Amino acid sequence: MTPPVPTPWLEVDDLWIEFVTRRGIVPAVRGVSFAIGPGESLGLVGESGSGKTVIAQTIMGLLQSPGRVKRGAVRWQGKPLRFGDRFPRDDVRGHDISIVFQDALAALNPLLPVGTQITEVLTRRFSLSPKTAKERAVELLALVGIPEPRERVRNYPHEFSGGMRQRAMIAIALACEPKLLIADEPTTALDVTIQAQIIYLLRDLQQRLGLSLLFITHDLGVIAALCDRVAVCYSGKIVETGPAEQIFARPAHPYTQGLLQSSAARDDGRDRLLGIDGTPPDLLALPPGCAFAPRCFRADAACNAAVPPLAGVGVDHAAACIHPLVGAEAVR
Amino acid sequence: MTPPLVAVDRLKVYFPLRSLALFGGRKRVARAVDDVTLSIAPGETVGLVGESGSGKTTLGRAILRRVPVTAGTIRFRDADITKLEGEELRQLRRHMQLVFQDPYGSLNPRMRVKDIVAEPLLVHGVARDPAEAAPRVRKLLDLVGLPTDAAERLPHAFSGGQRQRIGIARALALEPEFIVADEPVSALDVSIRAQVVNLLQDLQAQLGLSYLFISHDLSVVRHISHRIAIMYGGKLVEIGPSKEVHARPIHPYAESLLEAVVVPDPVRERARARVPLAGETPSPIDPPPGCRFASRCPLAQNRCRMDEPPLEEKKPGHFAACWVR
Repeated sequence: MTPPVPTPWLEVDDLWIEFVTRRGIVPAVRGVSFAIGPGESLGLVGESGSGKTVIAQTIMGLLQSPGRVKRGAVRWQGKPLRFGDRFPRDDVRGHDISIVFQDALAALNPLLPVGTQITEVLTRRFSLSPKTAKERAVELLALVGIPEPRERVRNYPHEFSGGMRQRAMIAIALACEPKLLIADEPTTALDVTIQAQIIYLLRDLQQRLGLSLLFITHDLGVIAALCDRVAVCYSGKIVETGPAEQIFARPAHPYTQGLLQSSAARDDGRDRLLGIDGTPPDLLALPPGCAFAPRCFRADAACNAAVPPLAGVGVDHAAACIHPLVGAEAVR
Repeated sequence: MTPPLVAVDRLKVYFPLRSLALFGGRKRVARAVDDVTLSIAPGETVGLVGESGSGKTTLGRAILRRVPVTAGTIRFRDADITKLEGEELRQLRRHMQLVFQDPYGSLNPRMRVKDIVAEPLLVHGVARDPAEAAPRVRKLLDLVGLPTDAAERLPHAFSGGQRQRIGIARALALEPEFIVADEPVSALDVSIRAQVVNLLQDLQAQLGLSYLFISHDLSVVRHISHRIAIMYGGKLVEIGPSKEVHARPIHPYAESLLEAVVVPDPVRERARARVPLAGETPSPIDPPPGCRFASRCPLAQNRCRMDEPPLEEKKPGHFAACWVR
């Protein structure tokens, strides 16, 4: 069940992000809005080029030139966050919101012991004494399931395995005691059994600490395991959003349905996998109407005429489609 | 029973490590592939599954004779190819090809698509010059579903899925009977994966190819494979008919691996009390005696830590290496 959302913590409001390149201005994110409430987990699904990672970077204030916010707002507990100058400092990012990246090896500092990378956050954020900070670092490593944390705290990132590094990343992200954790494909580079461990850990942390979660991935299975709500991105827009159960059981947008059908995990013994024909459009040459229309089996002239807005198709469930799948069509 | 196209018998691939021998240290070896026996029939797809470091990629390369073999034999069409060299090895390469994981790194960015696909034809003297190769290149591009005008373009003009098609066209140029596909769809977006998987299946039906399909993605492997082989720590721990392995895995590792797969179904995902397999893949360097999985295995007994379990036929056609089951 989806809890009601009284006052959202994070609000992304009509966010437009573009990249200035030699070939032209790339509209990477085109009017994205969503909100995350206390303790809620939202899964942002999309394939490469859908804009999902850029959204996460912008929320964290990590958007780099040539990327820039064209318009829109990101608010934390009602208060607008700044973008612009490189890595704007405020008391939200790295305090109330933190992030876990896909590539832990690249995100960790190779020259510092893992423990130091945690105590750095603690001393800066809470002005803890070095001794207390170290104790807390050991606790955090234990919290994320690293065995022998008292010894491991002295290890360097290269002395950790892939799964352990990702746990260490999560420990660092949790050090500032965030209310919202953004996880950008944190399990994509991991083996299946290790991925299962990390999913289990995140779910456990979410329950124990009451964390909100913004989970970014291309893997619908991971979303199903972790998220209350789903927002599906395609070419810089959210094309469908709603409660996870609804979206997985009765997708309304043909793209969502295609994604679900492409997944071999729901193989029902048929000879061929149902993929989606074609490829995502070039963001520099977007079609005038729905960006998915060229690949869509339901598209007609109306789809190519204007960009369809997100419109309600059910309780708390919206799709940006002129011909949403309804009733018996909306099967996965 | 038809004779196998490829038969691997007790294959070992050990990599010597640069050791501290200078200081009196012992020479150490990484046992990437350790005593693996496996065969692939004509027209069959064997899915090879395992986590990073399990030895699956090394096994694939060893069968293609692209890494040195330490012990054991590899037979292709009933001829021992383990020790082939020079011209004979070069002739063998026409029959066995590799499709790579990375559709970006595996195509020369400065070569036009027609030259990439024609290169094996020229190297093996099937065509004397690009002009002679041209009709064959056109056919190959058509076979993998690329437009004819693709021939004149450079790889960067193509998306990941299309690049993978170019890589497949190149692998097919010499009309091989056997293809090792090493994670061929892992780098592709979900909606594109299905296109490439379907293409590989169509090509198999048309050309009678055999595949060794290496992947860590169990769902794709189940879909495409006739049989599934599961590796752990350099060992083959289970092999059997695809559906059978999926529905009734025997080895506890196979069971955990299948259990770890997340499915896009929130109702099912929420309902299951997931107790993930603890621990991590062991190092292939100086492995302990006994079963490689014993340290993580919930069923492990003393014997498992002492003696190595052999791969045995537990059910007709379904083999596993486990003392307990």
